[in-house]
Amino acid sequence: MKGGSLLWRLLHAAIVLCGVLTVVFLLLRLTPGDPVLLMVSPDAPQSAVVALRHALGFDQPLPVQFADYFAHLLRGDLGTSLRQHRPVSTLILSRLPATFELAGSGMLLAVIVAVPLGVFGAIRRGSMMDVLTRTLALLAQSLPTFWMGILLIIVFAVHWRVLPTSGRGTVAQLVLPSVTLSFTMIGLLAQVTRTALLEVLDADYMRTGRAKGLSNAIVLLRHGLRNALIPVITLVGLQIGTLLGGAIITESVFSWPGIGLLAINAIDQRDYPLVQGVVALAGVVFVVINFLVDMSYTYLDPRVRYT
Amino acid sequence: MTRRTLSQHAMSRSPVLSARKPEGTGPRAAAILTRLVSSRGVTWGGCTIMLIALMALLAPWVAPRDPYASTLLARLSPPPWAGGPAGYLLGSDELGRDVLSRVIFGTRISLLVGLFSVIGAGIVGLTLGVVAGFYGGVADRIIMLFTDTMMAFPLVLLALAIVALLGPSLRNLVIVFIITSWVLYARMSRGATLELREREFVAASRALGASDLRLLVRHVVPNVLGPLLIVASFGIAQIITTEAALGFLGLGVPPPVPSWGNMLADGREYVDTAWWISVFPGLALMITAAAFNFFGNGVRDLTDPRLRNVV
Repeated sequence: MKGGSLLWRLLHAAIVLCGVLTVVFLLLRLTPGDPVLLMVSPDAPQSAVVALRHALGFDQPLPVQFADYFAHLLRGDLGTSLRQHRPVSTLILSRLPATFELAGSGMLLAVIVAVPLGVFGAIRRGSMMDVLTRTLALLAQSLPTFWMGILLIIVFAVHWRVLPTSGRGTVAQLVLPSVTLSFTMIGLLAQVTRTALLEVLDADYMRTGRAKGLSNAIVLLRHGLRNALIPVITLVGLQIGTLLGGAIITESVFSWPGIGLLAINAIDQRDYPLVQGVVALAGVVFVVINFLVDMSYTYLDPRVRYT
Repeated sequence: MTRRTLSQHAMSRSPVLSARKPEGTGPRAAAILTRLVSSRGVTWGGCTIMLIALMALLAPWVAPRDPYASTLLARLSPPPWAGGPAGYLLGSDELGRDVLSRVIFGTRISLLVGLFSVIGAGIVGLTLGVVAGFYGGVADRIIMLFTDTMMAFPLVLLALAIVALLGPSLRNLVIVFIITSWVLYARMSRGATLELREREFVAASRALGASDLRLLVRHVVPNVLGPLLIVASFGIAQIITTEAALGFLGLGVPPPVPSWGNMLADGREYVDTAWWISVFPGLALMITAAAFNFFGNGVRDLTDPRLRNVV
């Protein structure tokens, strides 16, 4: 995906963004049956159903609904929650900091553990430690997030009683959720770091660096790791979806009051405007972050230039 | 020119072989070790998968008890080796059902959902990917925009939202996983097709007057299928895990059907008193996912190390 003009990248991101929002729109409209009936209680009077259908614009033809939906989106209006009777955007914004906190600390933890593991595996390729790390990395990839969370709760909260099981506010409450979430990324991240570094270890500039008297560590950090960073950063960008998905499950396990818990409760209560809002947000965040990742290539590798 | 450089030269001519240096070019011992570990992954992964499949097929004969039969007097009894009464090897759940038997029967749901979803998603993805890669142009642009769009959604979130709309059932779960995971196979098949399109045997066949359909069916698809199966192995692991996650969140196959996700959801209420309800289905889940991951990983390393960056 490297190369291409800045304008084209921007256009591509914009088109994908429109696609994302279209999918979110169709999510509810193409459901078999009457989506409005899904949203009200089974014993609701007919008049309430008609009123809600009209309020949501579901009595309009599909293209009109679509235009309407986009017009509202452009004004930042994601609709109103059916259950909490507050704007969806307000609800999401109020939960955003909690999810950022969790996702950020989980990602940071994953990078802190995985990158050194990958570097070690690359410079000591084929050693028993390398083989062991790679096996463990693959095992970590197979570890279901929510089960990991439950195990941590059983060990640290129930058995040893050293950490709280749920809630947000203190650092102690952040530990188990972020460790759980980091596990979704550590395996893959370590693997990609190792492979990427292996690719550049034999490069001429590495030998030149050593030949001009730089220490191994400096060559490795300044030349090796920097050049190996592109695949790693790309992966981190592409893993945003997995990270958000993991955050949803992790938040549910630890009752972490973020977007994920909001979405799961909304799904439980058939609060579809809210569900749509969260799905749209996740899609938009992914597209924007991956666009930024593309842009970061120019900084990491001056040979890549967007004009 | 020594023989070694000659063969390297030959390799660099072939677009398929040159793209990446295979693992084995390092020190000899390291290469042998890597190869051994890879094939060990294939052996262990493959054997475990076979064992799990057998367990699913023979569940009624392997399981010590009826997975639905509840004995209220034996509710929440720990495994006998952890101080519980005899008879429930892995303990019993909150309704007095045998955890071991339910774990064994749970393999059925997991494998069914995993297998059918991957086959469905594989067929959809292969078709679209091969068409996009082979014809290029507008078809390619549109299909790629489509995959880029689908890639933007977290699998779990989209699956949750669609299952909530369609209603949870075995059939709907498979539909949801096909909708959410065909993208992976489409991207992979497209990449492989782009490479194959330029190969000599395809050009030769075209020169001999073969139709597009014949080229696709005889030459492209069979060569895409290999890497596709490797991706599918990882895909099954991912879908089985996601299915369990949906079950855990209450949107899997409806209870009382014994699925690992349902068991984990049940066990959630009792983590502080009856850990065995949560631990064993999760362990089964992890072993299954690991078996498919190790298998796929091993086969990839043995056959096509270049795929390492793709999957």
